[in-house]
Amino acid sequence: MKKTVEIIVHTFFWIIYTAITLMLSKVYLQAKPDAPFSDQLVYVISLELFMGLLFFYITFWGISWTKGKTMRVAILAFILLFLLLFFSYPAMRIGVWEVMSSILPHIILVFLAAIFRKFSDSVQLEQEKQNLMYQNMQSELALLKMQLSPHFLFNTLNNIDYLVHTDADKASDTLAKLGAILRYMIYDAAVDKIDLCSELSQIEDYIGLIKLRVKDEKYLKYKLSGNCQGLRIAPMLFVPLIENAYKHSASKEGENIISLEIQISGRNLLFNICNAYKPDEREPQKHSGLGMNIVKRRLELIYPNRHEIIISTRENVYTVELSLELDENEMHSSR
Amino acid sequence: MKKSIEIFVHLSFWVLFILFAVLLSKIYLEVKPDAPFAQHFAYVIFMEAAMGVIFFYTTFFVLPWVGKKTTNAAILGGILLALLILFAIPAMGLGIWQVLSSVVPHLMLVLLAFVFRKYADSLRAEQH
Repeated sequence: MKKTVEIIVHTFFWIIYTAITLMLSKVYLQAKPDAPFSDQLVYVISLELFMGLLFFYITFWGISWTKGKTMRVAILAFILLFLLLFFSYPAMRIGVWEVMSSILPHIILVFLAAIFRKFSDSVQLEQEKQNLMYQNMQSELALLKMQLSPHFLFNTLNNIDYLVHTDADKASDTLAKLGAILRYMIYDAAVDKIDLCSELSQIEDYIGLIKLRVKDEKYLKYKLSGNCQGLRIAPMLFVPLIENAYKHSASKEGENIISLEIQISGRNLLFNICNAYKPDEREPQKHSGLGMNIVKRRLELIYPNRHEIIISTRENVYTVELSLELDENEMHSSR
Repeated sequence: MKKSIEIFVHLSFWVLFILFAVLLSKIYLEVKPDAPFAQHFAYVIFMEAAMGVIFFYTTFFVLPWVGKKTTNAAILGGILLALLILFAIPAMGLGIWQVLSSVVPHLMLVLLAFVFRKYADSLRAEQH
């Protein structure tokens, strides 16, 4: 829909541009019927249109291509300057106003092309914003569904109930973790970016609950290296991956069934999770569909060209490796 | 910062617009030195700029309000049409091309005001 608006605006612009060129030529010819171009009006209009299109779209697409790099900006400026001089050369023998009349409209077109570029970017930005909002909403819903599922709650509450009789302190601690996770999901995770340390703390709480579900301390091996201070990240990116690993693990008991490692190095973050899956499962985690798709889509929208997700299966081990490169806006120190 | 960029872009646009108007008038006067407006050159340029500013900023400032209701769009359309006719009346005695030369550039200004509005909105969104 938005792309259509852009195409309509461009089409109207060129129709009006051609109409203005034609009209000005006609008014000029009325004043000077013997002008040199009087016999070739269509050719002159076509040439004007061609030159206009050339200047406009070289600038329009060139600006995206430069990506703010000085060298590319210089190349674009050089090309435009060369074209300006090239097209104004024939007018140099006629007079200064004719030279100006060749240069100025093209400068105006270059200027307008830059504005149109911004217009185009704003249309795209709006579309991406809507997509992101939709995906975030989907993601929140999916997470709420996943985490607040009766299965998850009953399992955890049953375990807590058992702990109340055997280890009251641990029961209280687990209840606090459950409360913290629910509070985080409902209130804290409703923002675009969240403190990485808070997100990691939630992951630890979440792991604590998983361990409670399997009753085996060494069921999930978790290793964190690096410093999370001063970094921010999109909330709830990792939890679906951990839940996915748990859901599809080969067994709900035993040691090192799931292995999770998070490495932070400068502004780079590496998340790696492996789980053993049942050997008879031909396509492991194929049905993890919605959760995984939401994670992938969110990554595309929030970290375009700054993330890599590799999913592999080898010797009955399913691995998800996600690397993220945080930008300056995601570092507190630079704000 | 963003506001200053917006002001700079608008100023540059009007400088280019006036230069273009001067240029076209000068070229016309070169081939027809006895044109009726030859004696009132500055006044004509001023009028061109004033009409352009009216068309442009009527659209530019009213657009956010237009988006709220279809009736608002119809009101803006009515105002712009009335202005187009009003400004084209003096050219009606001169010929069809003169009438068109009054109408078409103003249509272009309305279109550009729409694009500039979007640009201004994107600058604001970026700032947010």
